[in-house]
Amino acid sequence: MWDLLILKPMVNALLWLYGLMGNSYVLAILGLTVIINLIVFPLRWQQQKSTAGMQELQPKLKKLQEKYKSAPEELQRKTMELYREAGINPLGGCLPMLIQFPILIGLYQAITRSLAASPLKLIELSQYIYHPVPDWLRWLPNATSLIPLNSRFFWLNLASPDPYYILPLLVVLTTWIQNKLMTPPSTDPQQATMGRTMQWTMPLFIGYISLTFPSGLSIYWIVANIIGVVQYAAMGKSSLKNFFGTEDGSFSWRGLIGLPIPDETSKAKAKATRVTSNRPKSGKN
Amino acid sequence: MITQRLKIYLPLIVLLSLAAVFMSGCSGAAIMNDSSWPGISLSDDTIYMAYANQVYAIDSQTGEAQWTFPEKPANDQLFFAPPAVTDDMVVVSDYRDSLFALNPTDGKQQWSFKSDRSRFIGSAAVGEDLVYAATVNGTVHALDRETGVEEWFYATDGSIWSTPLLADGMLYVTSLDRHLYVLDAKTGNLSWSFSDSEEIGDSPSIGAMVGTPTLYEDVLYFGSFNNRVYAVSIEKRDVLWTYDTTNWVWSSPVIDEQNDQLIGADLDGHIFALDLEDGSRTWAYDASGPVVGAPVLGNLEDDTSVAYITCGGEPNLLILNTSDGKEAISPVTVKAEFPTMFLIVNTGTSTRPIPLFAPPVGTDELLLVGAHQGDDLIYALELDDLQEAWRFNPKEHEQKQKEEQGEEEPASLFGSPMNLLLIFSLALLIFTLFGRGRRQK
Repeated sequence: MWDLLILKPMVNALLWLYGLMGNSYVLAILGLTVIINLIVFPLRWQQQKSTAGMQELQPKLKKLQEKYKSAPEELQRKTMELYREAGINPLGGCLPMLIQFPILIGLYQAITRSLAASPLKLIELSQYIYHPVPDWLRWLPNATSLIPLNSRFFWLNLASPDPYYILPLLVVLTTWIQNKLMTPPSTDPQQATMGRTMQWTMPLFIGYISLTFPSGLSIYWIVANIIGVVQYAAMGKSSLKNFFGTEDGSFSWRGLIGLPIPDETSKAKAKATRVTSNRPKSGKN
Repeated sequence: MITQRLKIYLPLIVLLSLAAVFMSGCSGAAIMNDSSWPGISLSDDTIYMAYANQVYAIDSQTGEAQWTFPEKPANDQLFFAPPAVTDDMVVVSDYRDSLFALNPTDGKQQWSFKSDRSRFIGSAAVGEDLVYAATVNGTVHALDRETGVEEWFYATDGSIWSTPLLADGMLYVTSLDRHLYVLDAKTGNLSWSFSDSEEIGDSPSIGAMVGTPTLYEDVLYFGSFNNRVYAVSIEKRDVLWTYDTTNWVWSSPVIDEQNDQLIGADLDGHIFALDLEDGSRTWAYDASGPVVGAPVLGNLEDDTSVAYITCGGEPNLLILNTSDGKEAISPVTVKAEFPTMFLIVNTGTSTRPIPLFAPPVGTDELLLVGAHQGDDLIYALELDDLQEAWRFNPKEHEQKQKEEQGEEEPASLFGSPMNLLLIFSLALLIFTLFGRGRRQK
């Protein structure tokens, strides 16, 4: 079922795009990534709307939690009421994500399968190509005649990892930038800790994977990250405030690397504490 | 407390688990199994098999390994192409960039040749004076048979995965760049090349080729990825006939002289016999999975002429009567044992059919089939009743060698880095859920 509905159409679409884009595999990846992202855009939009709504409700939810600390059933009832009044489905962010997840996995698999660089992989690819092509698709390039794909792109063999580690670095950088731009700084210290963990571990993890995976996949990740940033910017969600972790979007090293930024009052308090502790102790001698 | 810890540690636990899963996918073993199948050749009573990090010389009677090359395997060096065997040398090629000439009796290296950082997927062809092999960068190399020094090379535009065919002073090379090249074997000069430009029916005009062509009475027979089999006259340098299949043709066709026909197959499992004169189909048989290896012809005890054919489905070994394409003996399903796992705990074994992509190899008494799934790489079946004679398991061979040398396997507490990561994530999850928090002052 997975192969029939997701993987086969994607593998063939990738091959057709390769033919239509003048036998350029990079352009085919770019094209398919853009098309897939456009298809999942409404879902992503829905997911973002729901997440933003949930964030706006956080202060009210906190108040409810404090008020009904000892009455969990009442708290649940009131929480649901709050969601209903705000017109938010608490699971509204999950469903779009669940729907777009298999599509993105399919895209990833289509890229790795079409870049068959060994006998077993090429035989596997032969089982995914449409034989024969339906009549209404005859205007498209014949996928079979395109095999093997030209996997050369500048210094890269797209079926092998980047020998100079340039693409893995770009993967880490673009994933980190996307995460930074899209994650608002949290006032909750626990959530902030979680956010910091994710902001660093996720890009490094994906970067690590891209060290061993075909560089064609790294290109997909980089393009998908850039598209993600552009889409969120179009929704008005990505901002310099998120990027630098400051209230006004001004530059801050601490905010950039995810450390908490001390506000003016705490800065003044810290200064006063330092002054007090530096004062020579008197009355002893 | 648990909720707080979950918020902090859950992403880390998920990431570590994912890392463990990806590590298992990126390990050397995964790369090996994902590349190809065992390459098997035969000479007298010795079987030569290339698979993963080593080449093995195996006694065909007992199934015991006589020597391995290299003695100490390297993780990044993979051998899959069937070794090219002559009386005085065995030539093996690797997936890194090298070709090695070995002594057939002890496996000692005679010479080696390094290509332009490009791997060899096909085998070498050994001539009287020169050894020929082609790389995925599309270069055909001719090396001195005694020294391994390069005598000439010919660069093509595409990638070559096939084994060159050496016949009558010419070298016939099929390429993924949709050309058949005919080179002078002595000088490397291009004599002529063939690339079909004619569109027939649904088939595209040209297709990539990976199978070695078969030469019979001045006609070359080969299959292509444009779902077509070609018969090309080397005198006229033109197509005599073509036969359209339903999927790519990977395997080399074989000539059945007794019936004046060619037997071939495609990746849909469509097996066919074609008249050598005009390419008309004499019979067909549909196998249950892709046929990758070339059929092997033989005779049953009652002198019935048969074709042994391996395929990727179930059953995976067919024995067809060459005169009518009917099953001469009931098909056989070769099965392998696999460990059943629950998370990282081995809970036993299960048996299931495995795809057979390597072409079968026949000795006087045995039929050998190579497998790329499961622990056993070669299944030796008695030719008369197809009962199993022996299996070759490289892990058992390695273990036996270590025992003979008195080496003991160092005790490993966690098995592999993947297990270590999984255990660490599990411990972190247990701590998150049940660990005691720091006491508040």
